[in-house]
Amino acid sequence: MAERKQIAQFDRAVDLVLARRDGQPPRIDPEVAPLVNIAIELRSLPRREFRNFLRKEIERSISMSASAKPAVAPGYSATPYLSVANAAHAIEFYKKAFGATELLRLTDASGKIGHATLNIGEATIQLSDADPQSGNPGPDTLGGSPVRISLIVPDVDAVVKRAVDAGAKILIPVADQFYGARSGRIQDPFGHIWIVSTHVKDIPLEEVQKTFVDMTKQTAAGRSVEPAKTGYIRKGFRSITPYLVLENAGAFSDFVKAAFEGEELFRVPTPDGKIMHAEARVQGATIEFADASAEFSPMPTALHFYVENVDRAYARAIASGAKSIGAPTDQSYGERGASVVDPCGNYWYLASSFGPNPIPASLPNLMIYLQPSDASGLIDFMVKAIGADLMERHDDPGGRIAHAKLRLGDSVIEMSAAHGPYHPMPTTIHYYLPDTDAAYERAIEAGAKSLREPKDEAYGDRSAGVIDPAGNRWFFATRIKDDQA
Amino acid sequence: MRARISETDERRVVEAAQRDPRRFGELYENNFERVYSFVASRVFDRDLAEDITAEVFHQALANLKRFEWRGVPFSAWLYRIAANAIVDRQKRATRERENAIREDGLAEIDLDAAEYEMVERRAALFRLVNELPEDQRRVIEMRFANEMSIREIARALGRTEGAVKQLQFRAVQSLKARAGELNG
Repeated sequence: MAERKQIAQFDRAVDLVLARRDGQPPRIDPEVAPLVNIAIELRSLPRREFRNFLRKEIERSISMSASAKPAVAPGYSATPYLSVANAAHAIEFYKKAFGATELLRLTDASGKIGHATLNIGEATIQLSDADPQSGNPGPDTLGGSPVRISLIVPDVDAVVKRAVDAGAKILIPVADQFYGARSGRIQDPFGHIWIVSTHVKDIPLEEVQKTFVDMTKQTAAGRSVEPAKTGYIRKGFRSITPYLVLENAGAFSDFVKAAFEGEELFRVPTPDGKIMHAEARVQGATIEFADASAEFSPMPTALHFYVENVDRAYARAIASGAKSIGAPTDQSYGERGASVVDPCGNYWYLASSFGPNPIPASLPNLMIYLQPSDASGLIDFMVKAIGADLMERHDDPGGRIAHAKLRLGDSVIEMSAAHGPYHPMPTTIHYYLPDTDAAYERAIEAGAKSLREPKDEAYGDRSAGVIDPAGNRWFFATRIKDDQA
Repeated sequence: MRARISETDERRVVEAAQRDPRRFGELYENNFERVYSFVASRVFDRDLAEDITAEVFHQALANLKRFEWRGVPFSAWLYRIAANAIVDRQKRATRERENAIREDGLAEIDLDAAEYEMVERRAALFRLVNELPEDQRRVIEMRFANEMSIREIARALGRTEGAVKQLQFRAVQSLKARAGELNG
C-alpha cells in the first residue's frame, strides 16, 4: 500500500479516535492498525501549557512555604529545655509516651547528648544530658523539678495512659477541672513534671475566678489552725476522727504501737477492764477507739494511711500480727500501696505517693475509707445532709464508683463501691462541726436515723448521733469547753 | 528519553525533597506524566484532569514529610492521593459532572497491576513525545493535547495539510517504534 494512502487512512482513524469512537476503523491497513493504538493512548496527552503552568505554580508555592517556614522566627518563642540523667532514654520515653518525633540530636565525643530537639504534635521541647558540674543539673540531682510543663493534647486520657505504660507516675489522676479542661499531672521517669490537659469546654473567666476563690477558701480552712475559726474542734483533733468500735480494743492499741509507732494518749476503762474510750496518735493522726458494748456493736474500719515507706510499714504490720491482703505494688493511680488486716479486723490501705512527698501535703495522712454497696447514694447523702464537698469521683467503665474523695471541714473521707474482698465496712465517724444541732436536724431530714439527740457532754462537746443510709454512725460534735483553760 | 530512575535514585530524590522542599521540582519533573496519565485514565474531561493533577502535586508538596519509604515507588503514593482526589470530586460533584467521570472504577482507590502497567506505559509514551523532532512534537501536541484539526494546525504552522498529516504519521510511527524498544 502506498504511503500516501496509509497517511490519509491513519488521519481518518485519528479523527474517529478523537471523536471517541473507539475500535479500529473498517478496512484498515495492517501496518496502520498498531499506530491507531498509539493514537488512542495519545488522546490523554497532557497539554504542554498546563505542564509548564503547573511547574511554575508548584515552584511559587515551594518558595512561599520555604519563606513561611519559621527558620528565622519573626516573633518570640519559649521552649522548655530539659536536663535529664539519660537523654537517649528520655527521647525514647517521650516518643513512646507522647508520640514525640526527633528533629535533631547532637552527640558529643563521649556519646552524651549535648542537644536534642523533639516535636510533640506542634509543640517543641529541647533536652540534653544533665551535667551537674557545668551547672546543668537534672531533677534527680535537685531532688525534684520546680517547673511544670503544661502539655495540651487532643486526648488526655489516652496520652496519660500511654505515658504511664511507658513508665510515668501519676501525681494527680486525670479529672475534669473547674476551668473547663480535663487534666492530670504526671512525673516522667527522669523527674520532670507534666500537666497534661485536653480542653473540654469554655467557662467564663468570672465563673472560673469565683470557683477558684471558693476552692481556695476551703483549702485555707483545711490548712489553717486558727483558733478563731476552728474553736469548735477539740484541740489536737481534725474535723473528722475515725472512731473504731472493736471486739478487742486493747489489741488494737498494741498493734498500732508495734506496727506504726502509735502512742496511746488516753484510756477510760470500764469496771470490768474493757476500754470505754481511748485515743491514740499514729504518725500525727488521732484515732479514737473503744471496746464494743451492748449499745455499740463492733465495726472494724478501712483506713487509707500514707506512710514514708510502704514496704517497711507493710513488713512491720505483718510482723505485728496483721495479715496481708495485698503485698506492696505500684498502683496506676500514683501510689505504691499495700493492704493488711489488723488483729481487730480493721483494713489498712498503706500507701506512699509517687508525688514529691510519699505523704501528700494536700491530704490528711489517715483517712476513713468507706466501701458501701450504694456509693452513689451515700455520696448524695453526705453532700446533701452532712455538707460534704465532693472533691473527686472516678467511675470505672461499668459505671461503678472506683474512687471518690469527699471533704468535710479540714478532713477527707474516701470511698469506693464495695467489690470483691472490699465489702461494706460501715464505721463510726466523729465529726467536729460548728453547729451540731443544725447538722443533726439536716441529717434526720435527709433520712438518717437518730442515735442520740443533741446534748452537752461532760467531756466538753455538744454531741449528737445519727446513722446514715449505709449504716455508718456519725457523732456530730461541737467543742463547748475551752481547751485552753 | 529520560531513563526510568532506579529505586535508590528515586529514594534519594524523595528524601532530599523531604529535607528541602526546593528539591520537590525534581519529583514533579519525574512524575508529572505518570500522575496526569493516571488521572486522565479515570477522568475524561481535560479541564477536570488538569485540576486534579494540580491538586495532587500541591497535596504531595504539602504532605511530603508524611511520606514514609516502605519499598513501594513514590508514584504509588501519588496515585493514591490522585485516586482520593478523584473520589472526593466525584462525591462533591456527582450531579453536575456525572458524565465527565467514568462510572466504573471510580470507587477504587488502588490500582490493579493492569492499570498500573497501562499508566506507566502511557507516561513513558508522553515523555517520548517530548523527544520528537520539534515539528513532529508540535503537530502531535496540537492534534492530541489541544485537539486541533489538521486545517487549524496547517494554518498555525504555515504548512500544507498534507505536510501536517505526514508529520503526524511519521511522529506516531516513530513513537510506536520507540515505545516498542522500551517495552520490548
